Amino acid sequence: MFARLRRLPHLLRLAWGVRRLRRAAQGPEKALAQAALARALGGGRGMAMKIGQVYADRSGASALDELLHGIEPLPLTTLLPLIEQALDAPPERHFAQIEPHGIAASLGQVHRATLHNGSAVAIKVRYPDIQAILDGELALAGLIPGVGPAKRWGFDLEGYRQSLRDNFERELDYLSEARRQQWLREQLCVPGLVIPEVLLPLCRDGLLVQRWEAGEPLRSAESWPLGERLQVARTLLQTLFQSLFTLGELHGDPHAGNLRVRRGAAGVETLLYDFGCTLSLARERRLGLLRLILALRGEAEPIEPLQGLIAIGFDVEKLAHVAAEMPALMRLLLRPFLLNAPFDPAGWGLSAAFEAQLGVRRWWFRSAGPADVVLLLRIFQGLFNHLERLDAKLPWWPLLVQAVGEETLAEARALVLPTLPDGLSLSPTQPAATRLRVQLYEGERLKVDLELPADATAELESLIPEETLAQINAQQPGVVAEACARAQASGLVAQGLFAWEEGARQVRVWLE
Amino acid sequence: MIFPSALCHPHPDPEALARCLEGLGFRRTQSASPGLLLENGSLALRLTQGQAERPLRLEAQVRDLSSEAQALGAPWQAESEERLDPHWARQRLHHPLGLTLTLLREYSEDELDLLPPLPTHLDWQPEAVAALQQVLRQVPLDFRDAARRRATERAEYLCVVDGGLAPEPHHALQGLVDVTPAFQHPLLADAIRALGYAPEPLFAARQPA
Repeated sequence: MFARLRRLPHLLRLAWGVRRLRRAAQGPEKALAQAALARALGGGRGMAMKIGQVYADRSGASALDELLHGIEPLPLTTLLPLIEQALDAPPERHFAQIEPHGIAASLGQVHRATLHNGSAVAIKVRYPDIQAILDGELALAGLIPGVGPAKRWGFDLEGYRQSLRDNFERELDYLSEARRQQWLREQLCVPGLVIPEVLLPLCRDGLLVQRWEAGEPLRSAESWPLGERLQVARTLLQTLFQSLFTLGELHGDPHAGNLRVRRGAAGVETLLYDFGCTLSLARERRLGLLRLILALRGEAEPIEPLQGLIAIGFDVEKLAHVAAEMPALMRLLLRPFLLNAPFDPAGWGLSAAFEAQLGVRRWWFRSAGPADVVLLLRIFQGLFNHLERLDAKLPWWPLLVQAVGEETLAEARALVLPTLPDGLSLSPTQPAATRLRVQLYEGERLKVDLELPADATAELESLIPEETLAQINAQQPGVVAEACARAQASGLVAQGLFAWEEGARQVRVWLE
Repeated sequence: MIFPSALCHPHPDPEALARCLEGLGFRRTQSASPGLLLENGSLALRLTQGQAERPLRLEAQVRDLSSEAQALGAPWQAESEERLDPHWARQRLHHPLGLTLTLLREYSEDELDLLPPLPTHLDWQPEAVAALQQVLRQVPLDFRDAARRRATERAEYLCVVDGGLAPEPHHALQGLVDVTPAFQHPLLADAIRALGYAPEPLFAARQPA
C-alpha cells in the first residue's frame, strides 16, 4: 500500500501533464506540452515510461532522447547477481565482457556484451523491482471509476484493465518474448527488415540475449535522400501488413526507440527490436478486417460492414446505434487501403471527419471495439508518426498485396462472416464508384465525355471552368458543392451528382 | 450569419451606368427599390441615385487583352498594356460615366514555354519526369493540371505494383495513357512516338483509372 502511495504524486504529475496537453492549442504550445508530458512520464519505470514512449514519438526526436535518458540506468553491479541467478552460473562463463554502461528502458535494461567466440550480443535484464511497481500501477488502474462517459457509453473497463494486465505479464516474461522474437524473425519475410537473432539457450525468464545489430536512430533517416526514406517506409508498412494479415502476431510497441536504420551493401535496412509487447489476432479477426477492405475496394463480394466489424470483435449491439453510418465511416477509416495513389495522412483529416459523421455517437463506435483494438490503433498511430517524420508517402494497397500474398487474400475472400441478428438494418458495402463521369451534350450531340477517378469528386468545383461554375451556381446556387459533400458523406458510392441545362447545352455529372 | 449578395454603388445617373454595364454582360433583375439591381451570374450590383465617391472598378479575366479592348470601342479609353510579372498582364479601360474596367490575362505554361513540375511523391527517374512533362503538352490546357496530377499518381501506383520506388518512363507514359479519355488517344500516341517510345504496348495494357 505504501509503495502505491509513493507512486501517487508521480501519477498526479502525469494527470497534470495530460490536462495541459489537452488544453494546449496546436503548434509550438502543443509540442511543448507533449514534450513536458513525455519528460514527466519518463521519470519512472513501468507503465508511465510506456505511455511516455507513445507521447515522445509524437513530440519528436528531442523528446524521445529526453525520455530515454530520463532514467538513470542501474549500475551493472546491481544486475550481475540477477544475470548469474538466471543463468545459474557466473556471467563470465558465458560472456567474455559486459559493457558497464547500460541503456534504461521501461521494464528492463540493455547492456552490450561479447561472447567468448567474439560475437557481440545485447543482454536485456529485467529490473529487479519491476513486478512490484507494475502490480501497484495496475492496482491504481483498477481504481478508475466506472461512471460518467465510461458508464454512459458502456466502455468495457474491465476488458481494458485485463488487456493491460495481460500485456504487462507477457512483457515481463523474457523467455516468452525471446520465443516470439525468434518466431517472427523466421516467419516475417519483408525486404529490408532485420530482426536480431535470439540466442535461446541463454534466455531465461528475466534475461534475453540476442545478436548485437547496430544501426542509427530512425531520426537519422529523416535527412536521407528520398529513395532511402521510401525504402524505410516500405519496410515499415510491409512489416505491419504481413504481421497483421498473414501471421496474426504484431509488434505492439513500434515507437522510434525500438527501431534503428542502417545503410549497407544490401541497401537500406530497418532493424526492429523489443518484442515484449505483441498483439495476437485470431484468424477470423485479421481476415475479417482484410475481407472488409477487399469488399470496399470492390475486389470481393459486397458484405454488410457490420459483419466485417463483428468478425474483428466489435460489439454488434453498440454498433447498431451507428449502423447507417458504417459504409461511409469504413471508407473514411480504411481510406489508406482504398486509395490507388500515394497516401498522404496530412490530407486525411480523420478526427474531424469522424466527428462530423457521427457527432457524439462516435462514442458508440469507440466503446464497441474490443479492448485490444486500442493497441492496434496505437500500432497504426506509431506507423503514421514514422511515415510523417520520414516524409514518405506510398500507395498502401500494392504494398499490402506484395506483403501478404495471394494465398492470404484468397483466404480472406473465402472467409465465412458472422450473420447479423434479425432486425438489424442492412446496408451492404457497395463498392466505391471508380469513375466520375461528366458528359456535355449540345442538342443531341455528345460534345464532351470525361472519365475521371472517383476521388476527383472532392475537387469537382476546381475541375469545372470558372465561367461555367458561375453559370451553374447562378441557376442552382450551391448545387456543385452540395453534390460533392453528399458524395463524400456516402463514401463515394455510385450516384447521380447533378445536372444542368442552359439552352441547348446539357451537363450531367455522376459517379459510377 | 450574413451573406452579402450585392455591391452597392451610388451614381448621379444610375440608368446610364446600367446601360453601360449591360454592354458588359450584366442583366437587370426584377427587384424592389432602392435603385437598379444588375447581375451577371457571378456578381450583383445595386446602383442607387447619389454622388459617386470614386469610380466603379470592375475586373475581368480575358484570353486576349487587345481584342477585348478593341471590342469595347468608344467611348472607352484604354491605357496601354502592362506586364505585371511573367504570368500576368493587365490593361485598364476608363468610361466617362466613372467606370474603370481592369482586364487581366494569364499567360499559359505553353505561352511561357514552361514545363511545370510534377506533383511527385516517389523518387522519379529524370527521364520519366521529362517524358511525362513533354507528352502532357498534348493535353488541352483546361484539363492539363488535372491530367498532370492524375497521371503522376497513376504512374507512382504502377511503379509500386511493379515492386519499385523510382518510376521509369514506361510507368510515366502508362500512367498518362490510363487517365486519358479515348478521344485524345490518337494525339497522345503521336506524342509518345515522337519521344521515341512505342505507344502500342501502352495502349494494349491500358487500364482506365
